[in-house]
Amino acid sequence: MAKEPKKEDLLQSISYKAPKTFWMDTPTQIKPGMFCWGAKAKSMNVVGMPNARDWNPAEEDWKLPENWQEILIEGLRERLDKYRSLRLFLDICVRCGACADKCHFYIGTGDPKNMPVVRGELMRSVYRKYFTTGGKMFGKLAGAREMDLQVLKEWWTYFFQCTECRRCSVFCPYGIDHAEITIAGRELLNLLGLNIEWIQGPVSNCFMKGNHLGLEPQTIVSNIEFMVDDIETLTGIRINPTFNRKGAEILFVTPSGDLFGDPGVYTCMGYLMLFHELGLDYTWSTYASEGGNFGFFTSNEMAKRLNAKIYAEAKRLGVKWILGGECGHMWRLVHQYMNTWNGPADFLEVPKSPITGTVFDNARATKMTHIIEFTADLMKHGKLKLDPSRNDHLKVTFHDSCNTSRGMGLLEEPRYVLKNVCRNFHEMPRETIREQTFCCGSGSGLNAGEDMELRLRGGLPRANAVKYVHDKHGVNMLANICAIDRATLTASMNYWVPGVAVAGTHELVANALVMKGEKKRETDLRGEPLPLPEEQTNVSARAVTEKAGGEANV
Amino acid sequence: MDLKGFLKEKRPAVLKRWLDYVLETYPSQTAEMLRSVENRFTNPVGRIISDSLGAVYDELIRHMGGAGQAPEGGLGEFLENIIKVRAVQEFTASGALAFIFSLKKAAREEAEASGAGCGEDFYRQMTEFDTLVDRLALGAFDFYMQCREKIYEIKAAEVRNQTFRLLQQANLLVEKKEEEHGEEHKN
Repeated sequence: MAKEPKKEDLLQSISYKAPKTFWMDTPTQIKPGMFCWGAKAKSMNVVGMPNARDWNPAEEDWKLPENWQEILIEGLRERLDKYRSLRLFLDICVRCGACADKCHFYIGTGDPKNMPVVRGELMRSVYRKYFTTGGKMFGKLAGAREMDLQVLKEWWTYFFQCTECRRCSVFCPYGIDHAEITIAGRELLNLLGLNIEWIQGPVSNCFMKGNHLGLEPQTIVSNIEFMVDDIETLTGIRINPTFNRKGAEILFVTPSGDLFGDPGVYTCMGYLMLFHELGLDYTWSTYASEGGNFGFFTSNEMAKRLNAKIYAEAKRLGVKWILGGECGHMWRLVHQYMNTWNGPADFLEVPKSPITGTVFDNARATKMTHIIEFTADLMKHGKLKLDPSRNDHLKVTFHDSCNTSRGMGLLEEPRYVLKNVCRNFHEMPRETIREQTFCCGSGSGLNAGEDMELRLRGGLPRANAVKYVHDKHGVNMLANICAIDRATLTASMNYWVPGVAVAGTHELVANALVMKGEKKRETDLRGEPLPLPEEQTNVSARAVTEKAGGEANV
Repeated sequence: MDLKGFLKEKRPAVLKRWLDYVLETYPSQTAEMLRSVENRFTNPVGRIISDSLGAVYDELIRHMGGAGQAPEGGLGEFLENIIKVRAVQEFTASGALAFIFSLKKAAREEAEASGAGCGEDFYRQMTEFDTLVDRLALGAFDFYMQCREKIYEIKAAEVRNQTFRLLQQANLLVEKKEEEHGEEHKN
């Protein structure tokens, strides 16, 4: 056999092997495609954020205040005193690794610093150095390290590579919520003016105009009127929604993503059609025009500030209760924080469906009910006339958004609604849905364009499960109840599972909704032709496949 | 034994060597995680890698001897899943695809280890095998480029989707442009 050239001769110093260094000794690289642009001075100034200036994360100089270490350590001290949970989470982790392979970012990137346990160690190592005796005495031997510029950049990189989805916390034997560590980490970074513009911009817009995009009242009205025109073309029915109407029974608040972006607008058309059909006494607000709250990805205080408008507007308009649209993080905030932040909402009544008489006792504190609960209740009482065959061209699966599933336990209602309006429903494998759902990969303000590679990596585990039901059952529609999902899963599907579209659940409800006096529908809300009767024959009367998860447990 | 028979017989051993080379490109903790592939849903990357390597290996063997030649660029499709993953991961273009050439090394190392790697005929067959692997790499490169281009397409489409309604309203009077957009959208 002829002599083979040696690898060294051919490749010389080129190596494709990964570095073998310990995570603390592996420097962080800030790479295009993996980070979001830094917050701009003008956005920071609107809400009085410290160290407002234009800066570029890719440049060496982040224009930090001179005493930045002191600010950060004092900020950490303050939060350790204020939030017992944070101190507990920093103290009790035994690094068992149960969380390690549960993070979509770790699975997708393969970067060990995306293991939740290591992401936690980024803060824990600094905590040890400044707040524990062992760390002060033994330094690195005790897993402690100084807060230097390299560590700061590591924090920034990885706290903005966590979507606060809390999947890891489901598997932690101690119940450590790593999302809280990320939340605290981002708060601390914000003390130095280190937010990302994709969050800071919407925060300042929200503060000034009431919604993330900064839509002014007339734009909101004209956007909705545009949808009303489309609905009239589709159904022959003219809907007349009201805005800022005092004395309405219900205030409706939804994420502004539903007002302008595809495919969110179809979900919004769904709300409009449903409310019209019910003759609901409700109003839109052009001030409380955002259910989402990117303040939550900035700091606790900012989230509280931005959320206050919902109750303020409910009070101004004199409504009885609040109905909320399909959104993810909005509901985690309503469910877990709103009452403490902005309550008590004692000027409101416990939500009661005017159609069925059902009292939503679960919303007794907040006075705000999720539309999927409201609609499921309507269906349970047979109050809607539905023709699910209008969705026969769709084979649907459901993506649980992290916040509504893990954050508030909305697991059955969306499935109940979907099974009432679609005859082809297939669950994804059980280890990827409900409490164990995989994040879309773009939540918590990371749904920018410039970090697309990060998003695609993070979206891989979810997309992989969609691909399974796409290949096995021909699933072509990924339903959800979250505006960020609607916006971002479209990109993820385009890359990982072409042929699967994304829809809000109320879009599918509206497709099936038989409205009084409507003309014969020829298309669905998207203008796609409805299936002809002969094309519907392959569908059994109620082909709901609930065992897919079991079968899929390979 | 001819090379084809050898590669068939030593499939697990050669594949293991090849997999090791692929996993070397990931940090060691991650490589360990990627090896456990029992659950394709909780460890999708590990499973995609091992499934893809196995499928490509079998396809390469199928093309050896007899007809001998792989269809031009035709082997790339078997690598699509793994390349799709590596095209968005932390690799340069060459780093994402270098693992394909490691198959040559894995086959030679196994041949040497089992004492099969001698004889002129074996060497000639190995050269043919190398050619197949090279073709595979060329097909993989095309697909890698498609993936990268797709990412930029997706970025552009997302911006369009986010603002489409607003632009539509802002340009209400410019009907022509809307039609063009509609056409583009369909295509």
